[in-house]
Amino acid sequence: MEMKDERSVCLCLTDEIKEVVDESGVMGPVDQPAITYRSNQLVRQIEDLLGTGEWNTKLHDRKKRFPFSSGHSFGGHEVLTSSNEILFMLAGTAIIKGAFSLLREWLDLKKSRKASIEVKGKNGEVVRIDITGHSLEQIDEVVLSHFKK
Amino acid sequence: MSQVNGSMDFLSLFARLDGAPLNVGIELLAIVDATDRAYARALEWICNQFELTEFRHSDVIFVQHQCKLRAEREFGAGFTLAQSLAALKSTLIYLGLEGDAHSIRALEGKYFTPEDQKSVFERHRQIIIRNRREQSEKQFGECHDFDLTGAFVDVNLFEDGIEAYRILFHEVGHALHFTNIRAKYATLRLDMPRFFTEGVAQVFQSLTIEPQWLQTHVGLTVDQAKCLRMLLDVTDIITLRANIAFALFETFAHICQDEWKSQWEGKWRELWLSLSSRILLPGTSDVHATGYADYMDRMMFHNFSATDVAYAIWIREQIRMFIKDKCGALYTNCGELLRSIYRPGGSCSWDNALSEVGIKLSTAGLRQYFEETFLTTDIGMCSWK
Repeated sequence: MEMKDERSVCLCLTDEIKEVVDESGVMGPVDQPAITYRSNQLVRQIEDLLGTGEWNTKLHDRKKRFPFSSGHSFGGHEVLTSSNEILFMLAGTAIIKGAFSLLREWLDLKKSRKASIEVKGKNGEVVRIDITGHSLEQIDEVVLSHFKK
Repeated sequence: MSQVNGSMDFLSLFARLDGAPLNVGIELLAIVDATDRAYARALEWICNQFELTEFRHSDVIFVQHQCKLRAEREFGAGFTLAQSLAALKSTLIYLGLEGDAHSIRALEGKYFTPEDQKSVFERHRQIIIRNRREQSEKQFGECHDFDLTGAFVDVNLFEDGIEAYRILFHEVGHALHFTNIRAKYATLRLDMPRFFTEGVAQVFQSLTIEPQWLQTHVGLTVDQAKCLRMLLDVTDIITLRANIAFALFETFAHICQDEWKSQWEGKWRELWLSLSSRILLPGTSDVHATGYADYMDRMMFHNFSATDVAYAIWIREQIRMFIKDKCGALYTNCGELLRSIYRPGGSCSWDNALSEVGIKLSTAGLRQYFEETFLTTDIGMCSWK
């Protein structure tokens, strides 16, 4: 599992957050509270193993998702979709091994979640590889194959 | 700072308003006035029911939650998700909207991407309903308009119950509105204020708490249907008045912002205490009991308007009263009437669109609706421990 060429890689967890206004006009996340609670627990445990992550939030442009459409949510207002990205700087992919079961559970809590690895190539270009449905062996394989390029 | 005097002079504040804010302020106060008697009775029931001596902000959230919970637990048995589509179609046919009923196409649990859009919308003007059944999210819905090809209703429903029916009927209300627009100017078809589209969608949604509809489609008795409607109306009237209090707060604070800039925090607290103790939480003298911090968060961080929420309920009741007068309590064959409300879209202003159909704007609809629930129903029968 050890990689010979230990170049910096970055694990990126992407979570889609939808916010909607309810009947009484109060805005809140669409996610079930139990899912949010468990997700926060898992992220904290992953942070214990991989180091503190860097959080980025990006608000989505709804026009890109459904061009020429106007959305209305229950209660009267738009569904605001944003994505949360948590970035972990890693020394190599081997370090993911310890946190893999936590990562798997975090991904399985919501269908819209994604995990990817950003690898810096020899020429300095950054490539993002999606590892959402991959096993640990597949992750190593796909990242190693990129290093060989 | 926490000890503020909540006796601000509304008249002097109103004197500072002019133009559109003045109209909005007058309309909101008229709604408050129209629902005062019903709200007093509702509060009496709430205080008896929950053994409260004073109605505070924390009680608002608790009471709304409990009422919804009880409605769902006691009367939700007949609202099965499997039968929701059949109930929706038969309701549409009953209303005289056969064409719309036949245009509904349901995609159960199918993932819908923009790439699928072309293949799904092959036919002219369809209402496509997709239920995602994603249990990691709360139940909610969205309606997307695709002009010539129809409307796409994206719902996430997985539990049998009233809430699922209300969401489905609300979103289909939007879809009916959008697909029936025959605007004079095509580009302005959706150029409508949000409260108007929401009010129109809520007309269709509100069918699900009509006693006769409940008897036919869910099998509730007359008393059960009345009790269910009362529980949901308790949450409705609190929502209405909370949003009016906040809308007036926004209006006054906006007008007085320059004058109050040196002492804005104290003035804001005083204004909010005055408004909430008049409109929402009678007799409250402590600003902390009025949920001041929560409402301020709402103003700072959430991009929606309390006026929209209040106006949507007002418009809904005005349209409902008109339809009931013309077609009877269960909107029998009101399809053409609804279409005439839907037709102009954003081609003319919302009040013109309503007045052309014959709907006069007044608070009579709201007064009638809430008084029917709280003043003519024996609210004692809805008691529980």
